[in-house]
Formats: sequence, C-alpha cells, structure tokens
Amino acid sequence: MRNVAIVAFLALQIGLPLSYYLGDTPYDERFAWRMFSPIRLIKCDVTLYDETGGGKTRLRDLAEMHVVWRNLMRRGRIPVVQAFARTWCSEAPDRKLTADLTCGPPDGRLVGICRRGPGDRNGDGVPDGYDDPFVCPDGDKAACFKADCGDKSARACHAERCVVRLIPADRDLCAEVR
Amino acid sequence: MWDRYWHDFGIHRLRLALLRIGVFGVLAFDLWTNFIVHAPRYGAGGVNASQFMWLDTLLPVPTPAIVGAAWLLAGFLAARASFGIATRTSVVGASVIYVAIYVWNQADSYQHHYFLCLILLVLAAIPTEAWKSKAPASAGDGPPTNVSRTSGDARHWTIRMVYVSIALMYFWTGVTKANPVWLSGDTLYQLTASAENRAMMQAIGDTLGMEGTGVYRFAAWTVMLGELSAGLFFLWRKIWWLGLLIVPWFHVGVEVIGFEIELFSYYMIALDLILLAPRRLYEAADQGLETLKARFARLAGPRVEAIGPRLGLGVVAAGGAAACAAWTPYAGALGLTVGVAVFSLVAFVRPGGRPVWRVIGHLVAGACLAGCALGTSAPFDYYRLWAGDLKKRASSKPALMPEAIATYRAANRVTDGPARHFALGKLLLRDGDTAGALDAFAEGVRRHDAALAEAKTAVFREPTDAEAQYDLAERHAALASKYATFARAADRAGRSADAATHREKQAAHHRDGTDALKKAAELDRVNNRYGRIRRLLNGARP
Repeated sequence: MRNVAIVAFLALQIGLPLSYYLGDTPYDERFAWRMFSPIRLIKCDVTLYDETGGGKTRLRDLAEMHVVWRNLMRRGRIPVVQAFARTWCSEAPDRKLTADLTCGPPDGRLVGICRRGPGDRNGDGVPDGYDDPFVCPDGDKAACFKADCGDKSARACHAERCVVRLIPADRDLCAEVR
Repeated sequence: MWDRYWHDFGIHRLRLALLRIGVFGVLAFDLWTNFIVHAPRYGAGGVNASQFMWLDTLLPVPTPAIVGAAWLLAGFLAARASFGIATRTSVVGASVIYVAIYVWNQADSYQHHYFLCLILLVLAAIPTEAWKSKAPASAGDGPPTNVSRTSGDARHWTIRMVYVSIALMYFWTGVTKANPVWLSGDTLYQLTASAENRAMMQAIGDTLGMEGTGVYRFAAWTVMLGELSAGLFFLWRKIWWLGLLIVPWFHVGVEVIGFEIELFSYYMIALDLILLAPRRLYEAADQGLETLKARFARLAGPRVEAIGPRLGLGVVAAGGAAACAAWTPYAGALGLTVGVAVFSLVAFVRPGGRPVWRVIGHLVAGACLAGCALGTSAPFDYYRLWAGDLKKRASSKPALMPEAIATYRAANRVTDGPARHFALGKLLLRDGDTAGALDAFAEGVRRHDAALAEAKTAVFREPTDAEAQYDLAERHAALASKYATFARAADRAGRSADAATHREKQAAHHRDGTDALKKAAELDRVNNRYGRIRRLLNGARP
C-alpha cells in the first residue's frame, strides 16, 4: 500500500508538469514549476462586453470584479473568465457576455514584430522591435525581419504571428455557463 | 534497491525536528502576516474559480471571514507544530486547512503556494512515531550499548519523499528554462529592470569581461544548468554537502535582486540548509541538547495522568489562547476563537507528555498570533485592500458604498500612522457627507504631519542617509498632494479661507519635497524611488 502511495505521488509530480508540455494551454503554468518563466511576462489583453439586448457595452473591469481576477484573466486563465461569467450572468436574466481575450505568443519576446508591434517610429524601414539586441544579436535588422515575416507586411505579419486569440469574440459566455 | 532507497531511509531526529520547527514556524508567520491580507479577495463580488474547473459548481463561494479565520487557525496549529505540541494533529490540521483553501480558490496560485501544498501533504503523512523518534535509551548508568550511529533516526518513506519532491521541483524549474527565450537572457533582463539591478548586472558583466547583453545570457544559462542539477543533490545523500554550498545561494540571489515572491525564498533557504546540513552538526547539537532537556524536564513538573487535572490545565491553555485569538481585529475572529479553543482543549485529552509545557506552548502560540495582528501592518493592509476593492466596485454597484466606507474606517482604526483618511474622505464626498469628509482629511494630514516630523528627525540624525532623505521627500510629496485635495474639498464646502491655507501648505510641502528629493538624488541617484516621488510631486504642483 505504501509503495502504491509512493508511485501515485511520484506520478502526480511528474505527470502534472509533463501535462503542461504535452498539452495546449501554454498560459496556465500553475502546476508546472514554471517560476520566472517567459510566459509570466506576457500580458494578455482582456475586454469584456455586455451585449445584452443587442447592444455592446464595454465592462469596466475593476468596477465588476476584484483586481486579482482581472490580473488572472490577463495571464490567459480561461477558467477565471468562465467563473466570472457564471456570477455576472446570474445577476440578471437573459444577459449576454462576450470576451476579447488575446495574448502574445509564448515565443513572442524573441520575435521582433511581436516585441513592439508593427510600428516603425525611427523610420528605418524595419519595425522597432528589431532594434533590440536580444531579438537580432548580429544587428542585421532587415534580415531578422525577413526571417520572421517573409514577404508579408509588418501589419499582416503582426496579426498572424503575434496575436493568439484564446476566446472567440462572438462566443456568448452566458449561454455556456447556464 | 527500491526498498533500501525508500523504506530504509532515515535522518537524524534533530534534522526532522528542525524541519518541523523551520517549515511550520515560517508557515505560521506567513499565514498571520501575508496570507491574511489576501483573505478579502476570496468571494469578492461573488466570483469563485477553484483550482480545478469541475469543482466550481460544487463548492460554495468563500468569504473573507471564513478564509481569514481558517488561515489564522492554521497558523496557530503551525505554531503548535513548530513547538512540538500535539504534533501530528497540528501538522495535519494546518496542512488540511492550507491545502483546502488553495484548492478552493485560484486567488493565490503562485508556484510557491502549490509547492507548500505538496510539501505540507507529505509532512502530514509522516507518522507520529517518526516525529517522536528518540535517542536510544541506556539500560543503566552507562551509554546505550549495541546501538548503531543511526539508531534513533526518524525513518519513513515520507521523509525521503520530502527530498524527492524538492528534487523534482528544481528539475522542472530547470526544464522551464531550457528554451530559447529564457536562454537569450531577455527574461532575466526584464526581471532585473530596476536601476539598482541593472547597475549590479553591469558591474558583474564588467568583472567577467562581458559586453552588452552577454552577462544576461551567461546568467540565464547558469541558472538553467544550476536548477537542472540542483535536484541531484537532494536525491543522493553523499553529495548533500555539495548542494549545501551551492543551492541556497540561488534563493539568496532572488532576495538580493528583490523579486516579490513573499516568503518563498525563506522557505527554500530553510529547507536547503536543514535538509542538506552534515549529520555531524546534528549529532553535536544533540549531545548539548540532551543536557538541556534533562534540566527542563525537572522544571516541567510531573506527568499528569488523571483526566480532571489535565482538562483543568486544558481550560487554562484554551482560555489564554482563545483570548489572544479574540483580540485579533479581523472578520471571522469569533470562529477563530472557537477553533483555537477547541483544538487547545482537545490537546489535553490524551494522557502523556508534560502538560505544563503544553500550557505554556499554547499561550505562546496565542501570544504570537495576537502579536502578529497587533505588531505588524497586516490588519491595516487587510482592511485597506478590502476597502479599495469595494470602492472600485461601488462605482457600478452603489449598494457597496456603505460597506466601503465602513471598511476604510476599520483600516484607519487599526493603525496610528498615516492611513486611508483621504480615500475615506473622497468616498464621503461622493456620498454627500462633506462634513465627514473634511474631518477625515483633517485627521489624515494630522497623521501625515506626525510622520513627517519623524522623517525630519531621521534626516537630522543621519544627514548622509539617502533612504532617510527619500523618506522625507516622499512625506512632503504626500502632504502636498493631500493638501491639494483638502483645498478642493474646502472650496466645495464654501470654506475659502481654509482652502487658501491648505493651498499655502501645499506649495510649502511641494517646495520642501523638491529640495529633499534633490538632496536624496545627490546622495543616491540610482534609486528606484526617485521616479515615483518625482511623479508624486509633479501631480501635486501648485
């Protein structure tokens, strides 16, 4: 019996972190021992909309929820969005809640177009994220940009590579949790 | 080999005792000063997300009173465990409460919260016989015979599991960093963004002859390789000594850099030092302790076997500990008091041990609980964060306004220094209570003036102390900002003469704050506080 307990506990401590690397939820690092991970620095953007009755009003986060939930949503925690939806949707009948939850890609810090967006403020023809020595160590910014984006425009490349949408914008969260 | 590795593993009983004292001592302090401050998050707005989605629809929404009382009770049990009182009950009780609240809600879901869960689960499985391992008894006047050096060791597979769990944790943290983003050094560069840390990394890079971002790449690789190999030290007794020389420094470095991970570094430093220290240290300490134990045993008085006197002592212990619990200023104090009383009394039901020590231990644990409530900023932080959340949510749910006002009043009551009088005053203004708001502002500036006087004294005593100078600048900046708010409120109340006086004070504090900041920067330009105080002064410009 004690050997069963040992094996079970070891299986938990090996299996849970392993499930992170084999799974498809890179933003939920809770059981994977990912201290100081690059994912931790990714800030997701979350906007919640009240679409009850056909309108579309943006919810003011901190007026609707504790800051800890808003911060966890900004780390891509979909279950937290669903938990909020359960409460908010139950406060009045026929409510409709949608969410726009987008995150940077897990490897985004090393992709210049994702680092600072498609903007080119210094006018050198290459998005400003490529000025960073971590992104382009050899200094050939144009080559680094071409390697990341090929022949695509900066805007198109950014939209394709740098925005991970975790919840479809048209998903009615209230309908899901009722 | 499996049996030898797992079931024949023992450690010196003093090592296990120190593990108990260290882990549960830090846990008690952590629960009473850090965790309790987070209790108002739980159930805020009626939202609850547990650690496992399938539990969400089964569990009720927690409340600050329940979670706060439970954490404080767990801290009391942890303190008892560290004192060696009703050890198994205390360890299991503290662990069950901690794990239950962690699973109940994701509000505190950093990695170190999860780590504590696992370690506590393992410690809770250690049986009483292992906790109470004793030195081999001697038959007569001489030392015990026919015993080996490891007789009297604490032996159980759960003790091995503590080491293996830590090894696996280090291993997986290393795996986390085996990726191009971490190894480029960019993450470390972001994590050490303060002016002081950048200067420190620059100095290290110069010493190692590295240019530009090279030092960050070097540090990233070092950390990754270090973490991947750190676990090995915990798996193999023969190289514990090597781990002792290397592993704790990682956590010391984390604290030097200033990462905000609560007490996690201290847990790990304690675990590393206790678990990896040479056996000889514990053997030497044990010899000294045996003499002390004999002396204290005489002081503790006789064993009490009869149930009546034991329960009498239990009532004393429970009464004293419960009185301390009742004194804590948190929501749920009544539940906490009852919990403390029940656990204290039950500890005296079973015969054995020295009940006088048990009484003292309970009273000390209770005193520590009350001491952390009365002697730290935990109650103030608890109420101010709670009130801050209520204030924000009151903008869409006005019914929360009275609760927000009451909670700010509670925050202001539990501290004598600068508090949240201006936040309270602004809410009272929104609520139409101008007179109440002006009273709150007046009390607020009175407290800030008192704090300013202390800051001036500190600068007078140590004129070259940059931190004292920054404190002075910050106090002036805060007062400039407060007087600006006070002046606007006085204007609204039609008290223009008062408003003019407040504006003069605003200008004076802005001027003095600017001077103090300039002096502070001359003493220490590379200081994180400069930018923040500069912005505060800019916002309070007359």
